[in-house]
Amino acid sequence: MSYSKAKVEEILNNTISRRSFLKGLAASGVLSALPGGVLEANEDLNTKIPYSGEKSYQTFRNACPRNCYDTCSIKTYVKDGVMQFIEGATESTYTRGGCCVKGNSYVKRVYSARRLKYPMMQVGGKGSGTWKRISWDQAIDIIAKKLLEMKKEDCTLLGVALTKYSGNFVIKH
Amino acid sequence: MQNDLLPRSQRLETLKRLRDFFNAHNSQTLKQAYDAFSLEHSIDEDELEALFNRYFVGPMEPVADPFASVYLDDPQSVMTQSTLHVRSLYETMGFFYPLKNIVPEDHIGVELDAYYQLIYLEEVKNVAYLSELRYYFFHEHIAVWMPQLIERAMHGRSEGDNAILFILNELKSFLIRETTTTRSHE
Repeated sequence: MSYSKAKVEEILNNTISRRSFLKGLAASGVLSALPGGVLEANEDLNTKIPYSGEKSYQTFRNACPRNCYDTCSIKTYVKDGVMQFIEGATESTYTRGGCCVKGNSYVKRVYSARRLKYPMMQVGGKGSGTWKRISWDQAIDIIAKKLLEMKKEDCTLLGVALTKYSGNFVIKH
Repeated sequence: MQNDLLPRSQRLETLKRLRDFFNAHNSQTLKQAYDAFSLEHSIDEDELEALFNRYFVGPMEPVADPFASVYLDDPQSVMTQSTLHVRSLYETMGFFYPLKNIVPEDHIGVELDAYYQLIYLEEVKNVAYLSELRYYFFHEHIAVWMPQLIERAMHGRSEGDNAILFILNELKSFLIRETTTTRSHE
């Protein structure tokens, strides 16, 4: 068997070819034949051809969540559902378009391959490297229990003392 | 949903097992997926999860990141051009991805799922409409980055990680078999 790379790329990159291909796909019974799994058949394809490859940015106004008092006003630029870059919002009368290097690197942070998206617990003891995925509820319960234990034992929460810009404002509040 | 009454080939079965293994999200589903390979080497559920997390999840730097973008575009990033290319491919194949913007489309488990469904279409349903896209998806994308993942995982492998070694060998065999089935004529 063989395939034409040029033909496939024409379907993917040429809007007219792609629409024509998708109309054929909807009519050919492919959608009802797909077995389903992580990916599902796009039932909307019968009525609506998906559009990707947006040319312009969507802009969102945000407050920087990097744990500083300033909470800089920022703008986030998104294309194809993917954050492209951010900048300080000049409209802000407080931060006036300012944004530090931490804020400016937000895209890298969000899309870092090293970023964890759910809690994990080291179950084999400290330093064992034996990590297990746990639920958010479990994680919050464990942390809350530890904090309450500390408070009971020391009569204070200074053990988790607030350090500015360190990421633990949430504990304080 | 999967029609289990229909006969499926060994090729489909292997793909399904690999897909389930890399898409497992807790120790139970991971162990089930692993046991489906009917291996001589058995491993404890928690031990398998810890091993899987060390290789493909974190929180320490994984031995081999499970995303195409890391191998094809930028070793530090997900959601790059490769991811968007795969997203476009899925849309053109008629797929809807419920985890859009939650898990990048070029995660190994998602790609194996797409490939499994495309093979299923041809083998079980005799629908060839997406065949050329499947060949393209495999030869221009999967076959470019998954061998790099295997190589990295093999390189970073510790003595005794037999469960992962077996899975990597299964993945490698799958890639070799598929590579010999189709060619671009350009």
